[in-house]
Amino acid sequence: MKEGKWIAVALVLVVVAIGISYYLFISERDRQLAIREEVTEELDLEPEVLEDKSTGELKVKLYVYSPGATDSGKKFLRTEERTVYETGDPILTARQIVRELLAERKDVEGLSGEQRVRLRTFPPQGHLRQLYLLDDGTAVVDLSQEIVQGILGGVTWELAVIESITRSLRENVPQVKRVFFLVEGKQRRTLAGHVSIEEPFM
Amino acid sequence: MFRLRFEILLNFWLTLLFVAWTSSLIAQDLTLRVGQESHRVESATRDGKTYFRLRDIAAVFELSTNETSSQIDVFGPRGTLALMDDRPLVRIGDQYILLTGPVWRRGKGNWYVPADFLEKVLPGILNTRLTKESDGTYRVQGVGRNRVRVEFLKYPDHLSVVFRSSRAGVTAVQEFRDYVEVRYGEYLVNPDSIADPPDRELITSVKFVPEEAFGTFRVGKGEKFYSFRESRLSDPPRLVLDVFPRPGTERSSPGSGATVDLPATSRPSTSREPPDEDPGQQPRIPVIVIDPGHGGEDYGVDVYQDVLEKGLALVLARKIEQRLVASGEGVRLTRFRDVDLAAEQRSAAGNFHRAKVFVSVHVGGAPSAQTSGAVVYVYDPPPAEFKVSRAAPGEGGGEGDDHAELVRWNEGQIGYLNGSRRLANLMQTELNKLFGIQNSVVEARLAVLAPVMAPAVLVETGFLTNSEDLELLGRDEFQETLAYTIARVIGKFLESR
Repeated sequence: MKEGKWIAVALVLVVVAIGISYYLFISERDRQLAIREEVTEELDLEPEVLEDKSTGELKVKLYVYSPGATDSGKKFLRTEERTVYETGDPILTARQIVRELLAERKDVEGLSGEQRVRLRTFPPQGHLRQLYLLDDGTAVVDLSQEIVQGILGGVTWELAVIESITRSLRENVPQVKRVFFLVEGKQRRTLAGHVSIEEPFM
Repeated sequence: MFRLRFEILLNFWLTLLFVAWTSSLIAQDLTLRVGQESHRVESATRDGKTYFRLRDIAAVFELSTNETSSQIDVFGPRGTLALMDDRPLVRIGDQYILLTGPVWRRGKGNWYVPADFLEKVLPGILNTRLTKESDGTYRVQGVGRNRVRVEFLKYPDHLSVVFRSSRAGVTAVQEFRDYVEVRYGEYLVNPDSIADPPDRELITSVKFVPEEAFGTFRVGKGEKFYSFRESRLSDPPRLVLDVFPRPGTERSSPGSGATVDLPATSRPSTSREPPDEDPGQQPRIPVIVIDPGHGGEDYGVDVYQDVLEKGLALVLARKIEQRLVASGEGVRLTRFRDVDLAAEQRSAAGNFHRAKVFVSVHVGGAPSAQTSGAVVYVYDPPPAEFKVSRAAPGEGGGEGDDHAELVRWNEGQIGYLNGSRRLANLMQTELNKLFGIQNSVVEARLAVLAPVMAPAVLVETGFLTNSEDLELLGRDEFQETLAYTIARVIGKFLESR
């Protein structure tokens, strides 16, 4: 009887050990899989969310590509004023700024509608996937693949995308010291074949 | 008695539990299946990347090695590869392959290679084929035979070389100075017969080189050779090279890969040095390296689909090459045909040939139809790179004639920034005169220029998004003037050094 009791206890412990090891194995596998999956957190840019958090209006200066410019100096970008929700949260402000940039209001340049759409700095189907602000002042801007595909070639075009986002964030959000770009949640060597985005932009 | 058994059982399962937990945290080992046998290759993780132990791989394929403190040579049945500690470049013969991470020497005889070594590098020295079965498992197979017969077909205006094969398998057709190379993969080539060329002024010979890839044919260029066009046909699988003679005696050719017609006087690769020299045996003569941007699936600017940047860049690069060769310079193009190259391959070509000047030729595109004229770009390193750079000659950049010291891959250009800026200013000034516009040199973090150890610029020769530039760039005489201007600036820059 006593021997039987010990055997029963041993069996229970064995089953528990198997259960724990199986649980740890599965949870670790799921953790690894979760890392690989796309991060699809909310941007909190819905009007009702912003209105709820809003304490007023905030005027921001967007830096957009100046038509005809080729150099990377002051003339490369021109400013446009927009009004966004004041929330006191630098991340929400930064996200609103990038969203405003992406909703580019393209001036007519004597081109047909189709050409005008193709010559937008940011294509209409592109979107901001995520924007984080790290403690050291680095804004991590995760762009969708459509934005990269909308860059139809040329260093000037790539610089227009990079510099308009970088400058708009730095000039309007004091907490942003530098901007680091991701595409579809991943680090890339270049944005669209020319300009390296392996390091942040100041 | 039973207490003892219980303790043994408990210990056994706790150990099992620990092993299962820790094994799920470390990198997955590699399994190589050969027939019914499975061979395990130990893995390790470094900087978030998976590495495999070279010794285990060598044992499976029975490869011998020869190791020094910083280099290990691996001898395979079809070639030798050289790996250097903490360097991502692997040399096979005269080719260099870039891995996603540096080779890792953990100790004597204990080398580790990044995971992409298996597919990128290893097949180059093996007679066997690696097929991926699943993540972390590959099957090693002996390759089948591909019987290839070479025939000639004569036409009034050209000669066709037909490679009839029992299986498809042509992996590359590449043009060199003296020959066109047809390279096979997948299956070992067994040449059935090779006919004699009917016109040796056009094609001197067709030679089979068994040791290159899985078998390679070299089509020798004759005096009348001008250009060729390749076609890959099926059922039965065959590759056809239509070889065209130099214009003047016969009808002009349709070019060889570019989307825009080539000029009548253009000749592909020309250089002072033979293209197949052994880099380890002969000192290289510095040359001017011209890099035609984009190519293959990478169209470059394609706002107006009938004119693609990749084709125009190749045409302009060839015209620049022709001008420079006429003035006695040695020139290398990074590509001769419509193929896509990674930025690393382009800059590696510049360093491999010890470029004295590197010019990447592009055509611009901007999100505005008003943007026009040529723009010359030089490399603008990120601020942090200035701090970590220790080997670049001259803080902030010099003319950089010293190749002796090693520099980090992405910092090669830093020592040459002064030279690059001077070349860029000269070029921008001359191109502004040509376009009648005042554009400035732009400094940008361009990936293709970062590693180049020579004065290097990227030039966008007008904007395809601007209608006037588009019209100009489509005209042959303007292309010639552009090429002349750029070649003259390069010559002037070299004279002034």
